[in-house]
Amino acid sequence: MAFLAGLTVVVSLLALSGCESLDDVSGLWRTPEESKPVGVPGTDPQIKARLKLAVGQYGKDVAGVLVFYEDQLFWNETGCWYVHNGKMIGSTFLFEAQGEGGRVQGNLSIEEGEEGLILTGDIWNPDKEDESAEVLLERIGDGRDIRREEWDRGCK
Amino acid sequence: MRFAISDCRFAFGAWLVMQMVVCSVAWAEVPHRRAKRVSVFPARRTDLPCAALFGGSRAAPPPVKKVEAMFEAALGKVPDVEVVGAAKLRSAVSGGSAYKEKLVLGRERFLLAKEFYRDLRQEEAEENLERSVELLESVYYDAVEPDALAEIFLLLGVTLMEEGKAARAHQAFKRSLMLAPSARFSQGYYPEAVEQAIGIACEDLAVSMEREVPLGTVERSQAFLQIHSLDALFFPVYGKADGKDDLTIVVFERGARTASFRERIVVGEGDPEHMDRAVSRWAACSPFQDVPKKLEEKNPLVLSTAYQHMVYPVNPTRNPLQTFGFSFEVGRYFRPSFGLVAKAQLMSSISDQYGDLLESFTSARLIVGPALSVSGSWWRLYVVPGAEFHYMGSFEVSSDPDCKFFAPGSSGAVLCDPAPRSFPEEFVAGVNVSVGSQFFVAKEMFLSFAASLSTYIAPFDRSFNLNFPIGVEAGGGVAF
Repeated sequence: MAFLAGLTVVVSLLALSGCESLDDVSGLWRTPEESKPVGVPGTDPQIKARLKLAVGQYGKDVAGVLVFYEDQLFWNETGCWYVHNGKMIGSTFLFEAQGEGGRVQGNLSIEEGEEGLILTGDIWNPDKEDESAEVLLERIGDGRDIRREEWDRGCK
Repeated sequence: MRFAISDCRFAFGAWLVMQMVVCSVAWAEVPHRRAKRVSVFPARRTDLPCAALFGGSRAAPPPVKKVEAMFEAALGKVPDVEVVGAAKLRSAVSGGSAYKEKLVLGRERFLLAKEFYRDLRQEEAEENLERSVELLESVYYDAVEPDALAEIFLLLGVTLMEEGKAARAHQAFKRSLMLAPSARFSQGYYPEAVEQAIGIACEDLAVSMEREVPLGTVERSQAFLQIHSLDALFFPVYGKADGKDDLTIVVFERGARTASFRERIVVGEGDPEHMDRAVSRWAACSPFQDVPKKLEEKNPLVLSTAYQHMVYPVNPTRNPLQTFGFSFEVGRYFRPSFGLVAKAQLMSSISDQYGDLLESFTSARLIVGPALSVSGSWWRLYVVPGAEFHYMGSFEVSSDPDCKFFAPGSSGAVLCDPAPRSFPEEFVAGVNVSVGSQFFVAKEMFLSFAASLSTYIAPFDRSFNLNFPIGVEAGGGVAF
């Protein structure tokens, strides 16, 4: 009887919980509060912004949105691009994001930060390869948070 | 239709409560006796006077066959007694693997002995007769053709008399008459000394008949019981007392050195009540071995529940589609190895590795079929080949990550191209085979483990997209 109860609990927990790991980029990421805004490659004129990335990973495929904010409170949205051709290779997230006003490619790695998972690497303008920026994002939510905050609705 | 995890928790709780309620059902074991296999040997007659052995009138044979039949009928009424009919027993004896071979050899020795006897070579005749008896007795020829073996013993007695071995001759004549008590001889056919010896053997037998061991020796009788899986042999001895026909029943049981039951009854006017009473008295005195009932006899009704995990190798997603849920089973055993089982199962899908299944779907199935089982005192293995009726809820499938991430109808959903494939609700039917085991951890409680495989054959246009589900179950239940 105890075995059955244990088995049920384990299966239920597995079904309920998303497992956080270095090869799963699913979740909500953003520029840390203490970081300065970065010049976003691929925008014309180039904008300085803080980033929010809401993505879901399905196997190796990744979909989601990359959103730019000009303020520290992540309130004034200055751009929202859809992630295209998102792929996870090991712990590296390769993607292209495109939207109104430009497009960008990125190569970000998931790492263990001091206070949780971080996503760090470069993003660049595929049309001007010297136009790039270093990016650091911290993980602030999982798939449930994405749905709760309606990031799965896409760009407005 | 959706089946949430919280529903599963509720179902699990309900399952535990149900287990406790059903376990409180009182249970009482009914004593069970192992059936005794018994057989009735042909009745022996001691009612013919020894004075009439040579010539003279001969009384009409008593209804010996009827006596045997009446005994078999009386035994058939006793609970836990299995009667092996005389004809069936004779067939079993003569159907033995070595019977034919030993019979040919034994008869051959007898014919050879007769030739030696005619040639007045008594020593060689005796040797061949002894060998013939040995061969024929080894296959219990006396249980099939007692008269034929009696003839061999008779010639052995005559030969021994001519050799001057009177004591052994007496034993041979006695055995011959015991095998064929109705035998009568022409006066003057044998020398006077032989006739006298046969007469003395007859008188001796008339006195000792009831004490004789019908198959010669106790060892032979016991071996016979063991070889033919019999527990008791009934030997009716037909006689006369005070001018009335009477019958003495002598019973030899397995493991006993002497007759375990002996009773004289009057056989009058074909009244079978005497035999019924005698047989009842034997049954009352004879020890019956208590044997534990098989699980299916003790607890023919089985209720169980189990957690079930199932995989569909044939499915529209890129990885095997899996479901989990609960199985509720009712079984009723009608015989120790045969019953009927019905299972109702409710399952919900689990996200596949790539999330191709866009939303979970619920399915429910009913499986009915016969259960074939083997069991010990605390375990049971079974196989259930059954018919399956399966309702599958609707679901959608896509391999495009945009279709998975963005909510339907949202602005992001425009990226979802091609649109997800929709699979409407469907009823399918097919064949299910499950094998399982149950291990009793308490008197009527068991843990169960099972595996099953199904294949769907209806609808016949093969429009279904999920097939060949393989399931494993672990659970428990009660049998009462």
